Amino acid sequence: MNKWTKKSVALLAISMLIFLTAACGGKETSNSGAGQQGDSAASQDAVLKKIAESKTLDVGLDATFKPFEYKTGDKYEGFDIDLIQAVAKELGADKVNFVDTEFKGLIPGLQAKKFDIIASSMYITDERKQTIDFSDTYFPGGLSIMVKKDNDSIKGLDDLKGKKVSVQIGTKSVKYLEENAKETKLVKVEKNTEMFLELETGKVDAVVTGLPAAKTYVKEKGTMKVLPDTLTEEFYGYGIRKENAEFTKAVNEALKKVKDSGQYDQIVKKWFE
Amino acid sequence: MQQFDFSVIGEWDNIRLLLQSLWLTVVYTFAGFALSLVLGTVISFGQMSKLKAFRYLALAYLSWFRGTPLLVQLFLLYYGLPIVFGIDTVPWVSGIIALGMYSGAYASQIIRGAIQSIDKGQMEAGRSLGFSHMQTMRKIIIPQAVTRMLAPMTNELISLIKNSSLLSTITVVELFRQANLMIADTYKTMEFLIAIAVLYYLVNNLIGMVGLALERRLSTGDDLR
Repeated sequence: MNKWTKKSVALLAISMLIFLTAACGGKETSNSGAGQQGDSAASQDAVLKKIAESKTLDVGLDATFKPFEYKTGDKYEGFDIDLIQAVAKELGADKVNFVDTEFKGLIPGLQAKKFDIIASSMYITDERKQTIDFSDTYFPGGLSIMVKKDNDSIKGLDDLKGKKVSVQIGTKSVKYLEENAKETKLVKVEKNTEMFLELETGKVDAVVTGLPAAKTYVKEKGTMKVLPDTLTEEFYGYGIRKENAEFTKAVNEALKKVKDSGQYDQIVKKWFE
Repeated sequence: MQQFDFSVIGEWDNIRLLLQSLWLTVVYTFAGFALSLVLGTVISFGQMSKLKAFRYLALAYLSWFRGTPLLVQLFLLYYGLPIVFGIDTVPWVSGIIALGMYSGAYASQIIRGAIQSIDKGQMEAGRSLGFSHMQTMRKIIIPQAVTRMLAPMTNELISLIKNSSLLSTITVVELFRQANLMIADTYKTMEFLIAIAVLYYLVNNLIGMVGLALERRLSTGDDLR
């Protein structure tokens, strides 16, 4: 094969992938650019417009994070579920449509317009902010260390030196430990539940994850304990596409209304007390 | 050792959801496999074509879809198209297409291998009887090749069933994702993993048995038994 044919083969391979999929992929979005036109009227925002028309809000989440979002049978349940439903109502959406996917697919999914908003206990971080926008925080969480009940050797961050610690890939825990506990051996897993399993089977010495999730697990299983001091103060926020600044504003207003009306306190009470 | 509590599998709600998602797994896989047979045939004939352009086209397809992981193809297809080109994609449709295109590359080699394994004399015999090249292919070569394709194609279908668990990464709730959702709710990890392992096992062995039965029915001679 000479140089020219080699190049064209490579080009063909790529274009074939695109054409084949484009041909059978589905419908084109007609108003994909609507949010970027910069018109200041609220109704110009593509998502707000969609909500006004269809009365539905499409929410992306990874429903494997008890007690924030999980699935019992066919039903989505949890703190995030109740709260986003209250927020959606304030936004004028009667129906919330949940799209379940793996955590690492949430930001690409949002960018690909698979849903309007991410409500999946996602921490607001500077790195994520470069790709997407966040609403105001709706819940303070924090990273905490979970160990086996009979483990007395690990009392804090310093004790993790040289130990194996399980963390969920793509989460804040990874970054935090890489910066603050350099000599820790991280075992990165895909799912929250795998993290617990790693600890349960003795493959790791500790798990670093959000406090509420750890607490819920301890409450249900009783074989683990959560160390009393949290490592960080973190804040959960809703992820929104950068082009929908108008929608972000509306979500923040809706969130404020839910807090002022006392609904927020009720939901917190229901899930964490 | 941990205590297992299999009663959670016995709950009707859980059985129903597992079977439902198993059905989806089977449907997506079979649809993908059907597409893969069509693509595989096109690619294999492209590869055997006398026209250079077709041969290169088929080779390019093969090298791309056999050379990249299915997981990457899924992500490119499902998230890449909307982000880069603004083309909307439907999860299960993307899933079927990705399975079909990926498996099509492998199927094409099974088809080509089977056709080229038929003795050259068969083609010569057909031609000397007055059949055209196409007629000989259709009436003599392909029927014999199909028998030889059965075993590797059964393999391909079985591995596709297992690969379909990757669809969970693009919001398709199939058997594996459903189990993960239940594990997250109940923390009964082993129980659900064993349950879906059994379900995958049953389906794949059923496919294996059907494949064997077909082979037995279509085989003409008793040679090599």
